[in-house]
Amino acid sequence: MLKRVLTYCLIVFGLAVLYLSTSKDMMQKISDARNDHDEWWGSHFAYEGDLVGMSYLYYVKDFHKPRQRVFAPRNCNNGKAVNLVLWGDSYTMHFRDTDFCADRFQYGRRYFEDIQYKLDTSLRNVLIIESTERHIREYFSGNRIYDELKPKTEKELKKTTFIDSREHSIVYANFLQLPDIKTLFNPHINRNIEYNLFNYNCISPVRKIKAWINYKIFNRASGDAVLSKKGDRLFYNKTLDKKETTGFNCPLADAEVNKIIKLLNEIEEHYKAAGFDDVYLSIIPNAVTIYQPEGYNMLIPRIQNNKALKMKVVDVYTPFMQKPDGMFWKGDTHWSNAGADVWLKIVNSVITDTTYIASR
Amino acid sequence: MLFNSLQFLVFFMVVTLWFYSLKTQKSRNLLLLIASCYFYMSFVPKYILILGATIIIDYIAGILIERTQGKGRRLWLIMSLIANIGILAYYKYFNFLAENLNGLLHMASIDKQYSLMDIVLPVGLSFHTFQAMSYTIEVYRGKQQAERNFATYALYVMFYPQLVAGPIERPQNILPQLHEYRPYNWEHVKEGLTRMLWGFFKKVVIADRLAMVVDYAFDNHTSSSWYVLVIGAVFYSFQIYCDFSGYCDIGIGAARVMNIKLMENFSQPYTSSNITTFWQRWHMSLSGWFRDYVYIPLGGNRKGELRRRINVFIVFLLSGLWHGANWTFVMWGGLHGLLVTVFPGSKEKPKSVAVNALKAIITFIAVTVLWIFFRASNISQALLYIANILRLQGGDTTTGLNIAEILFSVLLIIVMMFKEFRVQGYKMQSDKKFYIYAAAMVASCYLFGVFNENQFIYFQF
Repeated sequence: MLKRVLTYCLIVFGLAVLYLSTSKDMMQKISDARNDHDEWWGSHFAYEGDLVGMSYLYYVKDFHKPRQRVFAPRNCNNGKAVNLVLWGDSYTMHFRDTDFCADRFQYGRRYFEDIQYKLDTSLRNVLIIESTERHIREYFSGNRIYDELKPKTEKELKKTTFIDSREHSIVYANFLQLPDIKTLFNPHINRNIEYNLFNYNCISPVRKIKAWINYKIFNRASGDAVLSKKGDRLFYNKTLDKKETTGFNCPLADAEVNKIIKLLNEIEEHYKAAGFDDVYLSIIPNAVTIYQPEGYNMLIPRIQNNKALKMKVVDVYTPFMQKPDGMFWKGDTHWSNAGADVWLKIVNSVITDTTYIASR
Repeated sequence: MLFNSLQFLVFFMVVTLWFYSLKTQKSRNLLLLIASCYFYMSFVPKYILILGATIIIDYIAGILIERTQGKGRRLWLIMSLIANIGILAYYKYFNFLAENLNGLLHMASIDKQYSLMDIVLPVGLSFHTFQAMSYTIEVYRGKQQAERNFATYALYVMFYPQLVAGPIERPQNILPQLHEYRPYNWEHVKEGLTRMLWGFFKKVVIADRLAMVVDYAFDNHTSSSWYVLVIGAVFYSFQIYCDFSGYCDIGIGAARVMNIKLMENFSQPYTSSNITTFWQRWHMSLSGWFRDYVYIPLGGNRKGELRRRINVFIVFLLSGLWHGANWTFVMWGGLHGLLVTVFPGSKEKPKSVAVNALKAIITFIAVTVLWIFFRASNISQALLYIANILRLQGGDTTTGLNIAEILFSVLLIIVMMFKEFRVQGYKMQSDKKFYIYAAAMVASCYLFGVFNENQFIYFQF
């Protein structure tokens, strides 16, 4: 009898794990709930650096990053007053309006918030589209970013306020038809199962042992991190994956570069027509691109230096390559305070100088 | 769904427990069929339609072949084979043919070019197509009754432990087992789990570790030192063995847990003293398929020695092409065919252990050289790889792993070979021994496993 009860309990438990790890909505709820009670479950990401957390190399203090984020005070020119709209990712999400030489600052993080904007005809309207290098090909070759960046009509705005357009279409589809078969097969299910079953403080010691074996004996990092050739920093493994477009060394055909340029030009044209005075692209390089550039597919220079590109660029690739020391944390995918400062200075000089033509 | 994934472990637990909680074989088969559909759809959902189409065609064909007499019987078989081979040809070989045709047209300065299709090869297509064909052929030959229960037949093709990379089963082995209600048997569960754990170990601890050296050597074959290339080639021999036989161990073990016995696919191939023996021990289910359905119908050894050799060569060429639509596979198959026809080896086992070992080493070297064609992305890369070894190319001496891990990898290979040579079978009489073994294997797989979501090599076929 006990065996039978146990059997049924395990079946229900297994089905629940599969269901929860498949459902995007449920995973979001679980993640939110766990984030609210870090002290019970253990934090998902390490404050010492996301790559430190991914690789469980907590005991290697060299990889830790300081927790405070301090930027140099802004030094603004007396240019025309600016209405700055910045659409970016985790690299730029922590900036405050006081970091910019802008009278008005609007930030939109793709996939998390609706990227809406308000133009101000009394100000110089500047749009900066920022993206980390590893997502450029995924977004622009696949037309994704263009779909998301397309401005909505007034009617659409009322209907979709603060709802991501893709989620919106899924929600409506559910009322009208059966769920999309693809939603039954979540490509990230293994990552989600790992999160649901094993991402707890009590299991960390075992992970740390594995990380220690790999690091001390085999001179490798485990998890999603890769140790640099010099062994002095960690890289995110997706940025070194030759087979994925996220890889800095993944072959890149001219045809794909041309397609990206074409889409960027369309975006530029679109937003200029919508009322922006200037539209800038800013690609933040991968750490591996800067510190271990052998085999680089030259994605950033091939886009930024392309003569057909109409969009202006905020170029941090060049200054980072010229002076790479300290631009990225050693155990984090993101730039350091110094790296962010370089970007801020360029942006501020760009948006306050109407004669500035960025790096082009 | 990869075997080496958490999703599979949870899935396997649920399906197995549910399987044993059901009281009739009919309901068990239905559960396994639904589970197999979910398993297959986890790769690319829409390809279930292709699999479903072949299942329907062959199910109907089997019944019609059995019902019909005379020429009509042959006609139904041919129609079924055309449907199966047609699907295989369309998805696997269309682009290959088009590319080669375009090349020929270009050489002949003809402007016409055939456009290539943007398709992804359905996972395990060659495996389940061959398994389905084996059913209709056996029904035609009168060695197997046509299956009337559609769900049972569908499960014969789709049974998830062997769905995507074999063993390529025969209906005589599987169908009777699917009809018979088999009660829970702890000894079989232990045996199956023991085998599964060994398969996981071979895959995540050995194969995926060796893959890092192999990938490095093949990616850098122009700049790496000759001995790095040798290490890469030798490691590839063991990588592909541990990868494929590891997959089979997991699959056969998973089936055994559910009291179903699948056929064996490997029998220590790298201890073979000649190339013929190697092929009797490597991917045995495919070799058996080609023997029964191609070699023997071609005449086998019944039409003289020359014809026998030609038949053998044809079988190996087809076997190469079966693996993939690339000239590297054709070359690999063709060279094996050449070796088997020219140096078949003696059937008698040498009395001296030393001579036997020497022959085994020579055979291993030959197989390893030919694996280079199998692994390379094109023939010129394979030839350059071999040439760089032969000319003792100097260059980069890094291997992708540090020296400690290279030595650890060699140790793992020795342990694996020793275990497979000395300890055959997976039965464990003592429960205590089983629990200790299971704990040790789980700990080893976690602590020393390489988890980078590497697919099994044979999934691509």
